[in-house]
Amino acid sequence: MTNAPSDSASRPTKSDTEESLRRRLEIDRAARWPVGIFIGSSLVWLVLGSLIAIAASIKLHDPEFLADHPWLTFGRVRPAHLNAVAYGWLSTCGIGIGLWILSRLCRVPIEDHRSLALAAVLWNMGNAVGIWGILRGDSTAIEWLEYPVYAAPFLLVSFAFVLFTAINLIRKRAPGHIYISQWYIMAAFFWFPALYFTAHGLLVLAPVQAPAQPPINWWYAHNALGLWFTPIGLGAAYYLIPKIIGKPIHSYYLSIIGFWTLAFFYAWNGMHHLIGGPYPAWLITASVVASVMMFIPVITVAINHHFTMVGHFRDLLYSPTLRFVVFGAMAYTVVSLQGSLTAIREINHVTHFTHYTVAHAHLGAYAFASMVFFGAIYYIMPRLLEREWPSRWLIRLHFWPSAIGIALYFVVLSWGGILQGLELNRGTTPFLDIVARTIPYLEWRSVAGTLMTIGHLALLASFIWMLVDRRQSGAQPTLFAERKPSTGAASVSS
Amino acid sequence: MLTASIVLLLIMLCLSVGTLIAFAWAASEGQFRNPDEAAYSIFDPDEPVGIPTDPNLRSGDDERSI
Amino acid sequence: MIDRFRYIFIGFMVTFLWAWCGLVLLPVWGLGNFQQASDPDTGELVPPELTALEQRGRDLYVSYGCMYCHSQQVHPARARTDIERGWGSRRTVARDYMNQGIAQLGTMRTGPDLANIGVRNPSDTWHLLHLYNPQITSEGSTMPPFRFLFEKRPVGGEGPSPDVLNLPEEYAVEEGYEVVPSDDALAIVAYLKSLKLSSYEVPEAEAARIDSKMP
Repeated sequence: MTNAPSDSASRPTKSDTEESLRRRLEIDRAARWPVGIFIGSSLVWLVLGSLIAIAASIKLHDPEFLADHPWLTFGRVRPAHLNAVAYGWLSTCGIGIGLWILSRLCRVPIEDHRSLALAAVLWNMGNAVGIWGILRGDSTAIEWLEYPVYAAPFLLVSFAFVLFTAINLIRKRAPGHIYISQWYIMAAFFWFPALYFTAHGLLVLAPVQAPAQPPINWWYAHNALGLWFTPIGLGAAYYLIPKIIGKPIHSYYLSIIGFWTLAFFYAWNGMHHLIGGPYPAWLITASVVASVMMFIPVITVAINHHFTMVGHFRDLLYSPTLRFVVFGAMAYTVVSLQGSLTAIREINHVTHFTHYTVAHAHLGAYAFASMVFFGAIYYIMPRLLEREWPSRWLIRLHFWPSAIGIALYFVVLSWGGILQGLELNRGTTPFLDIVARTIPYLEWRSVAGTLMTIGHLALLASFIWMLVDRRQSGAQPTLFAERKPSTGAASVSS
Repeated sequence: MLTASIVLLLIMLCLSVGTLIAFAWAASEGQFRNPDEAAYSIFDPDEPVGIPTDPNLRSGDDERSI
Repeated sequence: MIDRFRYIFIGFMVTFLWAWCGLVLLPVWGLGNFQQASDPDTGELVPPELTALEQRGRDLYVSYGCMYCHSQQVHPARARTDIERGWGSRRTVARDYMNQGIAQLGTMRTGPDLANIGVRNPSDTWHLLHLYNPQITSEGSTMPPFRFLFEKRPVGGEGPSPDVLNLPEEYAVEEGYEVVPSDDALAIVAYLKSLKLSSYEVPEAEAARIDSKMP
C-alpha cells in the first residue's frame, strides 16, 4: 500500500491503481455533504466575523460609531467577533478539514454521513445561538468562552458525533502506519471536548470561587489555540505540503518529536496570560518555562517543512493550496517564536495589556491557522464537488488582500502596542495621552482588517460560484498560471 | 499549596519514569527503525513519489503569475 | 512503523492530564476555597461580600463586556507603574477576588485598571457622567458612550427629578427635557464604587506590600 524506498523497483499494478482511485472517489463522495457543510458554513461565519471585526475596530478609534444600540456596544461586539471567528470559522472549518484528512489517510469513507451532516447543522445552530446570546447581553465575559450556557448543548452534542465519526475512521483504518497528521487530528478531536467540557463545567455551569477562575480560563483559552487549532493546522500542513509537491516529509522522525514535545509543553502555557497577576510566582514561572520550551516543537516543524520544500519553492507560483499552506506554516514558526519570547517576564513587562497581544493573537489565528485552512479548502473542495474553482482571479483576490492585510495588521498593531506598553510603564504619562497615541495605529488596523475582509468575500464568492456552476466538471485544476498539460496527468478528482 | 506542590512533584516523577519506560518499549518494538518509511504512507499506489498531485505542476515551464 | 492507535491515545491524554493537574486541579484546590479574613483595624470581615445592587452591577459589567478594555489587577511596583499611577496601594492577591463571583481580571488596558476605582473615584456624579458619555469627564477617551443606560424624558410638573444628570452645556439636552439614570446605570455605579480590591488588610497584604516597594 505504501511506496517505501525499498519498493522502488516494483510498479503498482493496474488493479492497485484502479482500486485506490475508486476508493478515493468513494471517500470524497461520502465526505461531500458533511465536510461540505462544515466548510461552506465556516465561510459564512468567516465573512460575518470579519464584518463584526471591522465594526469593533472602528469603535476603538471612533467610539461614537454605532454607539446607541446596547447590542452593538464594543464590549459585546468584540466577543461576538472572537467567538464567530474562533468557533464559527476556525473550529467549523477545522472539523471539516480534520475529518476529510482522517478519512483519506485511514482510507475509509465516512460511514454515517447523514448524521454527520446533521451534526454540522447543529454545530452551526450552536454558534448562531451563542453569538445572538452575546449580543443580547448573556455573555459570560470569560475570554474565549463567552457563549451563554444555552449554546453549549448544541456544540457538545454535535461534537460527540464528530468524535464518534473520527473514532470509527481510526478503528476501521487500513492496516499500516498511522501517519503524523492522523496523530495530530485525533489528538485535537479528543483534546477539544476535554478542554471545553472542563472549562465550561468549572467556569460557567458550576463556577469555582473567583480567584480560581482565571487560571482555568487561560488554561482553556491557550489550549484552544495550542491543542485545538494548532494540531489541525499542523496535521493539514504535514499532509498537504508533501502531497502537493509529491515528495514525502523531510524527516519523519523529527515530526514525531514535534508531536510529543507539543503535547507535553503546550498545555502548560496558560498562565503566561497572567504574568504579574495575583498568582503564585512558581505557577506562572512553570508556564513561562513551558512557553520557552515550545522552541523545540516549533523548530522541528520549521526544519521539517523547510527541507521538504527545498527545491520546490517555485511551485508556490502555481499552486494556491501550497501558497496558502506554506504562508501559514512559516507564520506558525514566527508566531510561536514570538510567543515564546513574549512569555519572558522582561518582555511581557512591556507587552502585557497592550494591543501587541492582539496582534500576536491574529498572527497565530489568522496568519497561521486561517491561512493553512484556506489552503486546505482550495485542495479539498474540488475533490468533494468534482469540479474546479471557477476563477484564478478570485483566488488572487483572496490571497493578496489577506496576506498583505495580515502583514499590515501585525506590523501596525505590534508597533503601536509596544509604544503603548512603553508609555504605560512611564508612571508620569497621563493615561489619556497614551490612548491618543494609539489612535493612528488602530486606524491602520481598521484598514488592514478591511483588506482581509475583501479576501474573505472573494473566497465566499468563489465557493458559491463553484457550487452553483456545474459546468466546471473535469476541468484542469485552477492554478495561478497556465501549464502545458503533461502526458498521463491524473484528473483532479484523484 | 505546599501539599499540592508535593503531589505535583510526585506525579511529575512518575510521569518521567513512565516516559522513559515508554521510550524503551517503543525502541524495543522497533518503532524507531526506518522512520522515513512512514512518510510515504500518504501516497497511494497510483501516486508514485516524485510526481506532484496537482497535475500540470512542473518545474521548467516559465510562465509565472502572482 | 507505529500502527497502534491506543498507545498514541494514552500518550496524548497523559500529557493533557498532567497539565490539567497543574493548571486546573491545583487552582481549584489551592485557590478556590478562600475564607474572609478579619481586618485587624476594624474587625470587619474582608473582603466584603457584594450587596444585591452591587451584584446586579457586576452582572451588567459582565454583560456589557467592560473587561475587554479594563483590567482589575494591581501589579507590584517592581514590575509596573500601577501603584505610581494611584491604581492601588499594594498589589492584589488572590483572596481579594474571593467575593467577586465572576473574576474580571482582564487582559487589556485600553482603559485604566479598575481594581480600586471605588477608592480613587467615589463620586456617583462622576461615574454617571462618565458612563453617559466618557468625553464629558475624559476628553479623548475611546470608551463608548452608554447613553442607552439613561432615560431622556420630559421634565415633570414639579420640576427636575432629584437624580437628574447635570450635563454640561455641550452635551445638554433640549429645553424641557432631562436625563435620568436607569436602575441599570445606578447598579453599575454601585458596583464600580464597591471595587476596592487591594485596600483591605488581608494576612497576605504585608508580603504583598514588600513586593510592591520600588527596588
